[in-house]
Amino acid sequence: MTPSQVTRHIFSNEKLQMYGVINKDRVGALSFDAFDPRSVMKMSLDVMRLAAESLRLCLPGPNMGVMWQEFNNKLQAFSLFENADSVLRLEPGKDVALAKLIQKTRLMGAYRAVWVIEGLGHYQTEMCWARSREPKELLNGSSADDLPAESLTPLHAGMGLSIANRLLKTIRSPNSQSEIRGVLERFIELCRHNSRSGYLGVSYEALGLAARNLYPHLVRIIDQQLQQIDAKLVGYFWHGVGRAIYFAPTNFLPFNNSPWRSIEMAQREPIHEIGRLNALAGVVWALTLINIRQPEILENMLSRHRKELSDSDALTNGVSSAIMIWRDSTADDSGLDGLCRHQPESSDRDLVRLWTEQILQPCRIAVQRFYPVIRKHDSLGEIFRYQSLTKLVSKLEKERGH
Amino acid sequence: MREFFDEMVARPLSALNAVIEMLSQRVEAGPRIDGIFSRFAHALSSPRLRGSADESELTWDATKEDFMSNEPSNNDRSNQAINTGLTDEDRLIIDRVNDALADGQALKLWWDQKYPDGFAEKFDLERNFNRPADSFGFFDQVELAAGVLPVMGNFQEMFYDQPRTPANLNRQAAEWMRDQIREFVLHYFMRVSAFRQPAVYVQSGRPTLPGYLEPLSWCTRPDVVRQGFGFKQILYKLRDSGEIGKFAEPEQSAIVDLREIGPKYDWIVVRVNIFDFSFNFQPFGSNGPELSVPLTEASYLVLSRDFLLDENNPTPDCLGRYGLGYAFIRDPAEGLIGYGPGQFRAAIEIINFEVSEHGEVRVAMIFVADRPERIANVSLNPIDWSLRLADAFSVGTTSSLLAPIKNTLERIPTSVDSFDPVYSFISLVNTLTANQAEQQLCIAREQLEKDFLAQHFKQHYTTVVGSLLTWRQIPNWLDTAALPEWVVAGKSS
Repeated sequence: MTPSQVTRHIFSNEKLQMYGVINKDRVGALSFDAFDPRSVMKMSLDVMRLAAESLRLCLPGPNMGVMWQEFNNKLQAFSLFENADSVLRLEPGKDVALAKLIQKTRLMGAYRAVWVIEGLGHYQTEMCWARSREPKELLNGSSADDLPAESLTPLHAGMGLSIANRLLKTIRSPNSQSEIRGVLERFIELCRHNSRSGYLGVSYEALGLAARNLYPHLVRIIDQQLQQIDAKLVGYFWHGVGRAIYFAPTNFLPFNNSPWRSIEMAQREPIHEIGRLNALAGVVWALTLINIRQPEILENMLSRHRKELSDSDALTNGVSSAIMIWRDSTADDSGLDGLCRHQPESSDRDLVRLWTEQILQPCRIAVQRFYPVIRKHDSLGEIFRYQSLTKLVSKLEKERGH
Repeated sequence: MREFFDEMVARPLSALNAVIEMLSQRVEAGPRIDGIFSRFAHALSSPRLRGSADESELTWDATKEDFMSNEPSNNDRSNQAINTGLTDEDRLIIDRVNDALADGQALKLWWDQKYPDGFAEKFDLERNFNRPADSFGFFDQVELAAGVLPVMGNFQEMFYDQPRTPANLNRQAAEWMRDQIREFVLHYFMRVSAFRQPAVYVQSGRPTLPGYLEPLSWCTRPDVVRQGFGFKQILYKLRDSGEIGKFAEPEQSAIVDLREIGPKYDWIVVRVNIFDFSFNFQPFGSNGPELSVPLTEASYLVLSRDFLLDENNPTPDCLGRYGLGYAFIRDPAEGLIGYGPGQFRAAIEIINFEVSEHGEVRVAMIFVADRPERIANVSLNPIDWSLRLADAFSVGTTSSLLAPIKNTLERIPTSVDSFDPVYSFISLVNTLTANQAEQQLCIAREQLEKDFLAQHFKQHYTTVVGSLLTWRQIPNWLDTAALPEWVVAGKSS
């Protein structure tokens, strides 16, 4: 998109209504909603995107372009998630069937739709909290029967974030193990009561994202308590922490190699190996999904961290899982094919080899072999943590054999 | 209008509050910055939930109940409270007695297991010169019924008195001393532990001035300087009948003989005024301005048999051990100060006297309390500000007149929480200096906590030394008929 296109996009009539500059009920009338903090925030995000797009085009060097593009993508995803209600023009407090809203997202393109649907999952859960204290059978009750299958992963992710944030917010004593344990048990219980069985892992994983970026002082104690409650949950948690590290504000602006610093942080912040592997997979997972339309961003990350990333298969796991989630959420998206066909234009043979071995081949295997089995066995939640996908698929196939 | 207020006032205030709360958390600089920006962005851009908001924050807040809150966890106000003189405040205190006792007993048990060397972190609190004494501070964690509580505290042990008698009378004198100390500690100590320092007073000989001229006068006026603890017994629970009642006003200063707690009383609640106890905070160093907050608010304490010591001849080299102790009850009302007497989530104080076979008396003081989560509570709620201001100008009548309106306004989900400027300042400075402020300048929570313990140490030292003057004034504590009225009535100053 050129700067002029972005400008036109930002200041379109539709957007001006969204910001509250134009009163949507009375044509031609101005509205003071534009001055409320939420609208200002929304407009700021779009202006930042405009600036990022301009800088991407103006600043010399392919690396700078890649970094500003990556920044722009992150801003877009964040903005779509936080403003899903505005994007879909929902009236505050008014009930609209979730399936109808999902239907509306089909018009906006696969990439935007995914983030808006995740935002919708969050919004609907927040509405639920606001009305009846706790969400009940939100995505597994009869009212959710007609939800399209491709919307379920982002909806669970959004719901998990709301539950995690609402529960973590209640913690008064960050050092109280019993209080933290109580909150975690409640989180698990609520996830179970509201998630479909195959998507439980999606909801669990959101805990790490909420904790790392909104309640970072709780990360250690949550890890300790999860070890005692169920060691399997530790993987989901740190995967979410990895995703949070990618979205962390200190990694947001494209200065001082900040997007790529998340790899180093994902190795430094966890206090054990399971945490490190999951956090690394989580960072790569988020990076892949956000930048799926520009494989050169993933290539750039690979070239900068080839040693760290080739030391373990966390990179492969993150990319493969992200690709499968994308396949599941946007069956007809061309971005996926673009990534699977991408070849580095570099003369660096080592990079080309790494790209082929760590990205291309695993992607093809993931899409062609793993995804159908995981989908069939309704186990998508399982890939929201680091584990051997080959073993997972073998296990599922064995279970099918029985 | 409400919508406008929610968006233009409440939302930015919530964002600010979320940021300030993050500043006061213990976390590394990087994640803290992430937390600050993420919270700010999320608070400003999260969806509006209008139309459903009547139930939102308010109902969620109701689920926040936990043992760290300022509410009692089991509302088992006794039906046996038959004394009609009970006020609403008394009933709130009674609601909290059982929790305070349970936590206090757990803290006492924990102390008995940990003393002297089992603490997670032990440090010196003061230095003594030429006097045999022992003291230390500590940090640790205690498992209470409702969860693990980080605690801090201090222990101080010091010489109190000894008989001055010829060697051939040593044993006799020691036993006399034991009996005297037992009576003093268990019967009168709490009645006489508040005292007035001698007032410096130069007689001017001038007539008494009218009020409007007093501020201009250079004539010397006596200042009342009170020190120590001023106890008043307020409530009791009888052991046999379970009846809960209130001590009559004339009896309140004459604290019951502590030996009656157990046989006659299940517990008694006393209110203590802690004199000359203030919290000082100098954000810009020792030469900068100082915020000094006198902690003179009354605090409620509960005494039960678990905290009392009455042992004759416990070991061959010890003639007796006598002591008193209490658990702190958290005040129902939240004030500006978020920590200190009245605001402890769980705390105990124990004062034990020991008489050696030679009649030497030593006193040991134990204090265990939760580590502060905040020092001050500054409300960020404009409704609260307005009402407090109105209260100040109307001598407190606004609260009662506007109580229904205030309750209604508080249901609007625009109320944001309070914040702690002290811990926020510490966090901010350390964030900006990459923790150099803590490492080089001691601007740290831990430093404040140690300062608090040191202040507590000095307060108890003064109280014990002050009580020594009273102890020595009375030739025979067992001669009830000869005791002065101010000792018997507990009106020492």
